[in-house]
Amino acid sequence: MKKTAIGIFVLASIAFAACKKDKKEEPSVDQYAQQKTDIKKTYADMAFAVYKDSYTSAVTLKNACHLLADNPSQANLDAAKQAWLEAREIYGLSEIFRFVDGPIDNTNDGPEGLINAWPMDENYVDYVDGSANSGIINDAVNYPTIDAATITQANEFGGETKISSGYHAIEFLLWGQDLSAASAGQRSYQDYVIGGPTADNEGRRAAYLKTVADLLVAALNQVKNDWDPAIAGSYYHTFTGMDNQTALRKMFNSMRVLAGDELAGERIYVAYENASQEDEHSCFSDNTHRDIYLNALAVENLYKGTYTSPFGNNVNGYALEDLVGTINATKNTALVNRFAATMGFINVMYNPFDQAIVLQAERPKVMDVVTSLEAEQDDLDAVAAVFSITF
Amino acid sequence: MKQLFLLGIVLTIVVFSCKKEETIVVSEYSDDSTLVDLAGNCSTGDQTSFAFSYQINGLSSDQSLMFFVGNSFFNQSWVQAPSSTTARDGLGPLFNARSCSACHFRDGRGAPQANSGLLFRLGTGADNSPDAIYGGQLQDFSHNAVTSEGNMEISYVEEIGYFGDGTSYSLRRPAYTVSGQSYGAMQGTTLISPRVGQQMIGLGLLELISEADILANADPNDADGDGISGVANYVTDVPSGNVLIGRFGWKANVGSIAHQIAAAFNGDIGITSSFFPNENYTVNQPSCAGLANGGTPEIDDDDLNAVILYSRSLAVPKRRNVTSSNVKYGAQFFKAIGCVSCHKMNYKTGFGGDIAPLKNQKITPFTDLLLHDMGPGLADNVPDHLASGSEWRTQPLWGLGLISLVNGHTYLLHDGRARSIEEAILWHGGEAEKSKEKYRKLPAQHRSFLLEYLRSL
Repeated sequence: MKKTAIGIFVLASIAFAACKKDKKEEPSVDQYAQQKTDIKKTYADMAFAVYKDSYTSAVTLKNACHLLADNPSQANLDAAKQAWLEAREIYGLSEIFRFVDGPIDNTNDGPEGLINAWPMDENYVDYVDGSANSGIINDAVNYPTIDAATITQANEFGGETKISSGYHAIEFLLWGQDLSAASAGQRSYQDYVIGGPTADNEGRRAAYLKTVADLLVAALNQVKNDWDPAIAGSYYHTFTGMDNQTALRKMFNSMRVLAGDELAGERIYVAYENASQEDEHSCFSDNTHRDIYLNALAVENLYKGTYTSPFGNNVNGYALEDLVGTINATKNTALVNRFAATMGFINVMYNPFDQAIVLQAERPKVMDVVTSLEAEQDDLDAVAAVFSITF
Repeated sequence: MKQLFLLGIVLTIVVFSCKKEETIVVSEYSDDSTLVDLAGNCSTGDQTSFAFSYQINGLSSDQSLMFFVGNSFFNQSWVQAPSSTTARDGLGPLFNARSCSACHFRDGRGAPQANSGLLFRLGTGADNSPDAIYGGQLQDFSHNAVTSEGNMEISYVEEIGYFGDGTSYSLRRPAYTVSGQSYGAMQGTTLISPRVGQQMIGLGLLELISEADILANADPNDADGDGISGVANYVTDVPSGNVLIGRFGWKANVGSIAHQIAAAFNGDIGITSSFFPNENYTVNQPSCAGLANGGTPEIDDDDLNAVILYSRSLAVPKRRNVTSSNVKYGAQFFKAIGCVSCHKMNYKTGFGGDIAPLKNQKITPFTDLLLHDMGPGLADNVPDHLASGSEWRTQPLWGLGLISLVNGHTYLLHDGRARSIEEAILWHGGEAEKSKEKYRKLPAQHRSFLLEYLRSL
C-alpha cells in the first residue's frame, strides 16, 4: 500500500522534473549568502532591541500616567510629559519595521493603529476649544464606564482607523490642545483634580488616561514578544529563516517607504502643503521635529545595522552598509553621504515644526528636507538594484 | 485496484501537462497568458499587503508629492468639528465611515459587514428616487450630537448546488433589512441595494479608455445573437456638468473619478466639497441641521484634487506565477468558456488628462465597463440610471488574486456574498449563465486551473 503510494509519487516527480528540466536553468550559488544571513540576524536583533526598549519606556510612561491620575500635581504632570517624550524617542526608531507585513502592521492583528493612530479625534474623547462638554469623558450617559472595553470598542466605531487611543491620545490628555503659536498645549493638572476649576469629569478623565496607557503597554508587549528570539515560533525566527532575497526586499521596501512615501510625503509635505498649524503628528506637544529626526535616523540605523539603546541593548552587527560597501562602494558612499545630508537639513529646520511650515522664511528649509528624503529614496532604489530588487 | 486507478490519473495529468506545455506555444492566446504587467508601465512589483497602495512610476515631482497629500486625506480619519486639525474636521453628522480607507482598507476591498466597507443604498420607484426620510443611503454611524440612522441587518440562507461531476457546493443567498430606524419608518416602497467598497487600483487607466473603445463592445440589442448584450450607462457628471458613459461603481453609475471621490466624501463620511456642498441629511432629519461644521466646504479644493490625483495614480500589481503550467491552462479555460466575452482584456489608454504616465498604456483590466443582465439571483431590483435592477457592470479582475493578502478575505461581488472566487463565478447568471454552466461542468482539475489563473491576476 505504502509502496504503491511512494511509487506513484516518485513516478510523478520524475515525470514532472523531466518536463521542467529543459525549461529552467540551474540557479547560481549566491556568493554572499552568508553575509545576507548575517544581515537578517542584525535586522531581527535590532527589531527586538528597539521594541523591547519601546515597551520598557511605555511601562515608565504608564506608571507616570497612573501617578498623575491618582495624585494630580504640576510635578506629576511634568513627569508624565517627560516620560511621554522619552518613550517617543524610541518608538520613532521602531517605525523602520513597518510597511512589510511584520508584527507591527500585518493585516490580521498588527497593532500599529492602536499605538500611533493620527489624527487624534480630540472632541470624540474630551472637551475642546468651542465645545466644552464633548467627548466620551464628558458623556456618562452613553459611556457609563471608562475601561479598556469601552475604549477599544469606541476605537472601532466608524472605521478601522483607531483614533481614540495610542501615543497621541495620551499626548492630548497630557498637553491638551495647542492653541498658541509660541508654545505647546497648556492643559492644567487640575483637569485631573476632583472638583478642580478647569474642567468637569476629572475622575473619568483620569480613568481614560490610565486605560489608554495600559492599552499602549499591552500593544507594545505584543510586538516585543513577536520579535523575541527566546520565544519559539516567534516572528524573529520567521524572519531569520526567510529566504534572503525576500528578506532584503522587505528591508529596502521599509527604508524607501519610510524615507520617501511616509516621511517626505505624508508627514512633511502634506503639512507643508496645507500650511495648517496643527496638521502635524505631535501637534499637542510640539514634538514633531523629533518624530521627523527619529524616523530619518531609523532608516540610517537599519542600513548601518546600529542601534544605540538607552537601556544597554545596543546593536551593532553586520549590515547592508558592509555588504554594499564590498559590492558597489560608489553607491554605498552616495547613500551614506545622503543620510548625512538629510540629517543636516533636518537639524537646521525651524523648531517647532508647526511654525516651520507657516513662517515664510522657514518654509524653504522644510522643502529642503523633503527634497533630500526623496533623493534618499532614489539612492536606496539604486542600492536595491545591486541585489536585483526593483520597486 | 484503487492504487492503479490513481496511478493512471497521475500519469495522465503528468503527460497531459508535458504535452500541453508545448501546445501553448502555438496557441493564439500565448501572448497574454504569461503577461505580467497588466497595466504597462503603471504596474507595481510589490507583493506585500500594501500591493494596492503604490503610486505609478513617472509622476512629475509635484504630482508625486501631491499623491501623498491625497494618500493622507484618503487614509487618515476625519474628526468632528471643531478640532485642532482644522484641515481634517467636519465628520458627519451622519456617516458610514471616518475615512476612505475604513472601507477601502489599504486601498483594497471591503467586507460584507458594518464598519468594514459595506453600505446600503436606498431607492424607490422606477427612477430610483431617494427615501423621503433617509435619502439615497443609510448612514449607520453618526457623531456624538445626533443618532445614527439605523443598522444594516444581513441574513444568509445556504443553497446547495452540484458541479457536473457530482461534487456539491453551497452558495449563501443574502437578505437585507434595516433595524432601528431612528428617524421614523422608511417608505414602504424603499428598496435596499448593498454595496461593498472596491479596490482602488488602476482607476486612472480605466478613466482613460476612450468612449469609442467602450462602445465598440456594446451590443445593447444583442445584434450578434451571442446572448451577451453590453449596455453603456450614461450619467450626469457633477464636476464637469457633462453626460458621460458610466465607468465606476457596481452599476457604472459614475462617469469620472472626481465625481466618485466627491460623492463618497459626501455620502459616506459627511464631508462637503465644492461639488457636493450640502451635508448628507434630509429635511426630515432636522436634528442634524445647525451643528458645527468643518468649514465651507469641509474639504477644500486643493485637498480634494489631491485625493482625486491619488485615486487616479494607484498602480496595478504585476501578476504572479505566470510560468506555472496550471496557470497557463487556466488562461485557456478562461477564454474557452467565454469569460472574456465581458471581462475584456486589451485596451490602449488615450491621451486625456494631465498625468503623463497613464497615457498611451497597453492595459489588461478584464472588463468592458458595460452593464450586463446577471440574472435574478444577483438582482437587487433597484434601477440606477440606465441600469436595470438585474444589470451590473463587469468587474475588472486585475489584482483579484491579491485581495486575500491585502484585506485578509476573499469576499466578492457587489455585496460580498461570494466567499471565494469560485462562489463568485457560480453566482453568475443571466447573460453569463452559459459560461457559468460551462464552468460548472468542467472537471475538478480544470476548474482548479482556472482558479489558479484568476489568483495570478
